[in-house]
Formats: sequence, C-alpha cells, structure tokens
Amino acid sequence: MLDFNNILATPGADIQYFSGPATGTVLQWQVWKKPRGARWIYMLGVGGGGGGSCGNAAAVSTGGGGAGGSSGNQTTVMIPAMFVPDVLYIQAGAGGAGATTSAGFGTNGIATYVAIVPLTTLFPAGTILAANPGLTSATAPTTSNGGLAPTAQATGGVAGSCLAGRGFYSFLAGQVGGAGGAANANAPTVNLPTTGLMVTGGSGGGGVGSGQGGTIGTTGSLGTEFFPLLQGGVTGGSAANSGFIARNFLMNYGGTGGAGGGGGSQGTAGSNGAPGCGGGGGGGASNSLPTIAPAGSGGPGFVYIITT
Amino acid sequence: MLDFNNILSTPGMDVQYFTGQSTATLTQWQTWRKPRGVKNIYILGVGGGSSGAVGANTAATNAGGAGGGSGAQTCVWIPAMFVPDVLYVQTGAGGQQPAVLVSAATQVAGVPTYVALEPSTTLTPNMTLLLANGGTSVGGTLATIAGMPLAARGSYTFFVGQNGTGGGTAGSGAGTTLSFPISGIMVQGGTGGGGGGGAGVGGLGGSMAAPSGSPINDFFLPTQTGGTSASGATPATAGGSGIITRNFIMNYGGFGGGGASDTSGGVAGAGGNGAPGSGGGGSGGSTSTAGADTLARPGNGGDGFVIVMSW
Repeated sequence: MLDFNNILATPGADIQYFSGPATGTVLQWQVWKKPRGARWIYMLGVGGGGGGSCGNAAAVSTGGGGAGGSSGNQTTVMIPAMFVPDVLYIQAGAGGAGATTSAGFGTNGIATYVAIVPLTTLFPAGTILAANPGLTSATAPTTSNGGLAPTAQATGGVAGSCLAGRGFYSFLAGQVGGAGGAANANAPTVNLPTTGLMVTGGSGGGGVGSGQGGTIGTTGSLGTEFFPLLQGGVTGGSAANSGFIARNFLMNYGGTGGAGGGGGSQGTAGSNGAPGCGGGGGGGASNSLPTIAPAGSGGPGFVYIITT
Repeated sequence: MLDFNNILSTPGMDVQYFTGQSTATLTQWQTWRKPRGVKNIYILGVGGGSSGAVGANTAATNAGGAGGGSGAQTCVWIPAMFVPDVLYVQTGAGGQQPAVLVSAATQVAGVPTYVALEPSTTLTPNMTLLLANGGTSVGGTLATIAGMPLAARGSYTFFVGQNGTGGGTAGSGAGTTLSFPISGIMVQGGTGGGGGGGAGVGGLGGSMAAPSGSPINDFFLPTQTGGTSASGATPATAGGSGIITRNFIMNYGGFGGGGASDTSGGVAGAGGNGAPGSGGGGSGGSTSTAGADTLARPGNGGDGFVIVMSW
C-alpha cells in the first residue's frame, strides 16, 4: 500500500491525481468516474507552468539572464456529488517548454480544466474547474539587462467554470516568474507566494559574468523543514536546482535560474519547475560561444479530485 | 434502492428536498430536523421565479409579454455544531398571474426562500441562515450576508437571478432570445411572448439559446424555440415549459407564447411554466378586434426550492 502522507488509500476518501500531458487546449482528456456512494467532491487544479526564457548571448560580459516562467493559476472547488455527473473529463495542461536560443522566449503552459463533456472548444457552461496556465516572459534580456518577468495571468472566475456555482470555490492567480539578472548581477529572489497559492514562479537566470540564478524561498521566516530555500545556479559552482514538492504539498517550487557564464564560458541552464510551477531562466552568456544554456521548462498542470 | 446519481440513499448522507409552498413571505414554514451524528450541513436555496407578463391586446398596442425573472441562488456550508436541531424552511412559490388577466400586466414576483432558526412572521436577519430572493420583473436580487448573518460561521456564495427577456414589439415582433446563464446560477429567466400582428402573421415567442460551444446531449438542450406565431388561419401556439436537466445542471425557464393575428381568431399563445426557481414565459400579444378575450395566460414562475444535505 502506498501510504503517502497518510492520505492515499484512506478508507472513505477516494483520491485521484491527474497530471498534465495535455499539450493543446481542450484536446486531450482523461476520465474520472464518480465512486459509488460519493457525497462530496473536492477538486484542486493548477494550470501548467510557463517555460523559462534564455539569457542573452551578447557582447562579452554584458548579456543579461533570462526570466523565469510564471506558475499556473490555482482553482479549488467543493461541490456536492449530486450535482456532478458520473463521469468527468480532465485536461491537465502541460508545462511550457523552456527556451533554447539566445534571448529566446519559453512557451506558455496549457490551461487545466475539469468538464462534464470532452469538447474541443471552451465551454464554460459545462466546466466545473478551470485554471489558466502560467506565461513565459514577453521581454527578452538585452545586451545589458535581464529579461523582464512575465505578466500576471488573469483568473477566469466562476464565469469560466459555471458549474462550480453549486458549491464553493476559490480562484488564485499564479505567481509571476522572476526577472533575469543584468550583467554581473544576480537574478532577484522569488519569495514564496502569500496569496494561498501552492505553486511558485521560476527564478531568473544570472547575468553574464558573476550573476547567479535567483533563489526561490523566503529567508528566515519559515521553517526550513517545510519551506527550504532553493538556490539558483552559481557561477563556477553548483547548477541550478530543479523545483520540488515540499512535504504535505505545502508548496511546489519552481525551477531556479542558471548562472551567468564567466569570461568565455556559457551560462548554465535553468532548471525545470515542479508541477504547476514556472521554469527557471537561463544564464546570460557570451556571443563567442556556439551554444547557449537552455532555460527550464514549466511543470505540468495537475488536478486532485478527492471524493468522500 | 433508488441509486440516483450515485448519491441518494447513500449511507451517511441525508439529502432532503423542499419545494415551494409558501405563497406569502414568512407565513408558511416547513421543518427540517438535524439527523443524529451529522458534522456538516450544506444548504442550497433558490427563490421563486416570477411569472411571465401578459401580452397586450388592444388594437393599437399588441406587444408580447416579457418573460419572468429567475429566483436568486444562495449556497451555505456550515458545521453542524452551529445549527440548531430544527430549522424552518420557507420555499417561496413562483409568481402566478391572477385568474382574470389584465392586458399588459407586468410579471408577478416570486416569493423569497428562507431557512431560519424560528418560524417567525417577522424577518430577523440574525435568525436567518439562508436567504434567496424571488424573481420580479428582473432576476432575484442578490442576497448579502447582512440578511443571513448565521451563514458567516461557514462558507457561502450568492448569485443574482437571471432576467427574463423582453416580449416582441407590437406588429409581429419576436420575443427576445434568452442567453444561457454563465454566472454559475442553475436557474433561468423566461422568454418573452411574440408581438401580435393586425392581420396575417404574429411574432414568435422568444427562444432560448444553447450555451456557447454546447454539445447537444442530455445535459444541455440545443437552441429551443418559443411558441409559434399565428399564420393566416393557423392560431398561435403556447410556449413550452422548462425542464430540469440531468444532475440539476440547469433548470430551464418557460418559453414565450406566439403572437396572434386577426385572421387566426386573435387569441395569443400562452407562456410556458418555468422549472423550479425559473421564470415563466410571457404570453403573446394580440388585438381586441376579434371581439373576444384574446389574452393568453403567461407561464407561472417555478417554485423556489431548498436542498439540505447533512453528513
């Protein structure tokens, strides 16, 4: 028996987890079947995280780091089982791919939906849960500055998931990814969200030279057992850390940014985000190099359905 | 065993449904008793829908009647420890036009729905656990926590009712089409009746649009048309009544009746009744030149209802 956090396989609660293989919107559906005797259904869905962007391989010692991707939005719904058909269809959106070219943008994540019919068009009247995806940066790093953070993604509200109106719901916007660092500068730290969100954006990559990838976490204010600091890439040192899932699902961490390249060396890669989180940005590099370090990919969106 | 949606008769879950017998506010109460051992209580209430309006039947003015507004919708979840062992439920009746119809009479409001601690004849917010207003000439007004403060021990949501649509203009105008609600509400307004035509052809009763991007299945109906209009000697027909679709996905409002014409005898089509909580359809317009009572009855508003689940 997988007795994970003492909750899976708990008598009286059916817990199912769906993760994001859906690479197109409302095209690839998974199936959930209502367990017999269900009384209440809780759903938590997060859109796919946005991919990180690459650093700039510009003039020697001036290229900025790429920005991290944003996390997906988070939606919860609590609804009586009598208002839910016996079969639901789930699209758990894929995370966006990280960029692979100099100053290139990553890819936006894919939205997550739970619907009563597996349509190929958006259908709010038949949707119980919707969570928009995380975005990638839209402003590339320049020859001197890091890429700017992605814009925030709007929540659809209950108008985008009308059937949730029979119960209770919450809609949280995703966290934007961190900006990239300027030349020789570290990318800023991405603090843990305080909105109730359980996913973070990715941090940016450091600028060329001595810039380090951004850290994810909040220094000193939270117990490191539950909320450790996740270090970005260090120039000449460790690689960027990939996102992970903290204990009891308290927080899914985004990917951290890579470090900027030193003189004549390529920056290091951004890392991938945990489910629903943004990918880390790539470090800035020199244009004398044939390749550039890729950015991290956003984590896939996911859905939990807990039936009691 | 009635194994309906895999939920009724489910061990450990008590589901009770109350529907609208209350024709006046705070005077007719039903009783709910807390089952032994319950820990949580969920209540969904919808106010009574309003009736459709009466179409006009004067020679000069023969517009169709507007559709009725749906009741408002309120949900409450609350720990059972904050709820007395007995609750009193008023489920508001849907609006109905009087026995003797009056040309161009507006909608008759539905009665609000309440769940309260005492069967008081005076509204006391501090005794109220749930309030859902009835439909009027528009959708039921949004409740607020100030009107039902006891719900603040738990979680709650409020939705305003959906408006009915307008009747067709005099001279064979069609009733306005109703859009499928996407606010989260589970009830609809009614559609308006068609306008009368002096001779020949009247207006169609209002349609209900299928939801945007809708499949055609047992959850969602395709676009539904209202009553057909009079055409030549063929009289207008009544609008259909609303239905409840599977899993309570939507309670449909009533459809507007078709507009009349002199050549068909001048009698307009009646409006359809709304499903529980939904508005009634407006009746069609006509003219009085036929020398008889050419008014048709608008649809009744659907009765309000309350679902109480405890577990």
